Amino acid sequence: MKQKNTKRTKRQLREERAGYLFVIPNFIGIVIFVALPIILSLMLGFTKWNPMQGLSAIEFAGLDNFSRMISDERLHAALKNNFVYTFTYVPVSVALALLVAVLLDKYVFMKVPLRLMCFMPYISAMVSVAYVWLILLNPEGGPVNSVLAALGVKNPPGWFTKSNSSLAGIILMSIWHDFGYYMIIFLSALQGLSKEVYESARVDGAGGLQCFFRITVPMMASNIIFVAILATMNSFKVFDQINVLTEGGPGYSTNVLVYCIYHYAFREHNIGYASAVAVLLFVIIMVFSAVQVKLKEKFTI
Amino acid sequence: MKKMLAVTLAWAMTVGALSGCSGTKTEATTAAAAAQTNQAEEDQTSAPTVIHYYDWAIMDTTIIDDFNAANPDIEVQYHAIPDSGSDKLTQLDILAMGGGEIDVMPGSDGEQMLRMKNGMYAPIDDLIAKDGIDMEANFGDILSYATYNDVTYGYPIRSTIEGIWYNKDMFDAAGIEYPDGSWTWDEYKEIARKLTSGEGDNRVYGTYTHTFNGQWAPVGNEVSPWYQEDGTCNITADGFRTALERRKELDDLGYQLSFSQIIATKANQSASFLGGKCAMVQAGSWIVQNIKDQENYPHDFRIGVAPMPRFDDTVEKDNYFSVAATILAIPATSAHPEEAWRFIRYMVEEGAERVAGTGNYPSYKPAYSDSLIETFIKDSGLAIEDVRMLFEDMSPVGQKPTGLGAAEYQQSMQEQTQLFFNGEKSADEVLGQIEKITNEAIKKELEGN
Repeated sequence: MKQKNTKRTKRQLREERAGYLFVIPNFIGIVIFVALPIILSLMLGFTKWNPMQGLSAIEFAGLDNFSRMISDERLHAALKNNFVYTFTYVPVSVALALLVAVLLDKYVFMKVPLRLMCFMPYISAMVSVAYVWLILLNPEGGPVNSVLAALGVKNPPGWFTKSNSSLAGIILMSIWHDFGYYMIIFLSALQGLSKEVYESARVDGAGGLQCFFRITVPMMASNIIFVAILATMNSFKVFDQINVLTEGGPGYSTNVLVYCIYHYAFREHNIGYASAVAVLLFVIIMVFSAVQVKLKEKFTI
Repeated sequence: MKKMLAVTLAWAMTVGALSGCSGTKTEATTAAAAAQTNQAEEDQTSAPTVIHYYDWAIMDTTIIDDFNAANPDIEVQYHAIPDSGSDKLTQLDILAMGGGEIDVMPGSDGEQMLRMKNGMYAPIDDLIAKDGIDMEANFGDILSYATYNDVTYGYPIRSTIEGIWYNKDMFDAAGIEYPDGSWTWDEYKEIARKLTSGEGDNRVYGTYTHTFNGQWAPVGNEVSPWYQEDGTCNITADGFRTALERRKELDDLGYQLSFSQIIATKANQSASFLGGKCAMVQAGSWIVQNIKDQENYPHDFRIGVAPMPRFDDTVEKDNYFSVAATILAIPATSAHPEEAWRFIRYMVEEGAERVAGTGNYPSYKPAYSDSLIETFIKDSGLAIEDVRMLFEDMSPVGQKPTGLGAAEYQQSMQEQTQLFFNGEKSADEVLGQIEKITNEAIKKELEGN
């Protein structure tokens, strides 16, 4: 984006050049590793390509890939699962993180060890954590179902072995794994809030709950929306635990978009269709993020 | 914001690639590059052609040294990749797709059909014809795993011969005669019932059937072929429907660890059987590797092997084993197919005994002899009389479909039958779904899409 401006002093030009030079390394990196793959993927979405036959096998296929989406049951299941996942994972993990952050900010003893415990899952490898959850959620004799049975639940869920509960198992595990990270973000924001506002509210007779909903939440609005955006993106990226635990099953019950992309690209060797699905994912995330950014503008104080 | 979006998308697109490209690939490529440099530095006129061979199997690498010594014009470099579920295949795929230095690669147990269809391997019919090889005499029953749509793409190196392995001590204690090829499904079920005992952690199951699609279907394949005469999917045939229902029946009767429990506990055949948790197990000849491995699978009982049960009394032949094979293939991108072919032949033909030595079942029939069987079972505690039948004339049944649409056929069998085994759908529904998916795939392939 060079500006055609000839009426500049030498000094200005030199400064400008220095500026561009500083930006160039990063810019090249972004072009090669971010922009180029996006553009290539977008283009591949309109082709039929079996990569086993080399680059010469790329054929233009028009909208074939996108019309296949209309009748693709695997993809439909993935879309549905992704939305269910996002609309439970994001609100629950953000609310939980905020609640725990507020509690840990003031009301408990042993703040540091407790914070550490909440944050621990996030820094543990998903693959090993997944195995622990597999044992926890074993439908026969696993700790979770044993507790449920002791509480009198008649038909405890089959978790990863049944299609009506496997996604719930994945969501539960993901919330447990990630909320500590969101909590840390909230904690640091809470510590930046002015104490005076609370003090004057107390003087005016506000209770704890009132303080939380009338002061904490509005003052944290921009942080909450930021974390919600982060969580939304994480929710669309879910892959590891599904690959390890269920491979998309039983049936298609834990298929999500990223897992679909992986399936089409590396199980079916259909790079064109996989890219088309990646484009779909891109559009969805873009829409979600745009909405959230608008919300952020509206609610930020 | 935009950057975050972009990063997310880039992640989405590369996620598969990343999980496929582990460090090994880079190392291997670097090693290959280094090898090339070395080669260039050497005397230009007599530099041998370098063949890069990738495999995940436990390997007796002396065979490679012997080949290199006997063929001074070729230098085979062996690259071991970790045996990690389906990731190993993805890793090889990416190597071959990316035009990496790879000249010989394995294709295993049914997964090779998709790669044949997609043109990953070079056809080798010309090379076979030129050398005048009688494929039928060399490999017989498992040849379907080397061909797709009448083109040969691979030379089988190791097979999986699957039968019922049983714990002789448990049979003796219960006073049950050792089974032979004449047993029927009902007898098998009855023995499984008698051998099931205990509760909770101490429960010993009569038998064990794993979750692979190749486990429930072979008994059905004794009476029903995989494809109908017009080439369409035959999964709704009586044989398969009955086989599917029977597998679930064993679950429901509690004679084996249920499908759901295998998923929930990530159980596997070797650990269950060699850990004494079941009296019988349906498993392939590969289990011999684990039987030999007392360190990881400690056990102190005697083991025998029997053919798959007969579907019922009306099935005349016996000694049914379900078979599958791993081939060695030349990627279509290889620059040295002739040299690669010479090496493949040497590996398969001269190397049969050494394949047997690692506990793998060699596919090359002319090499079968008592001494090869001795090598196969060395240090396993198995008796040669018990194992000999694996190498003799048997009635093979297909572990998996290998014809047109095989990839979708196998995939849908895996995904759909889960829903029957966990009780969510009826046999009709899941078999109908498999039929629909497979027939669509076959139709697409015939139309050239």
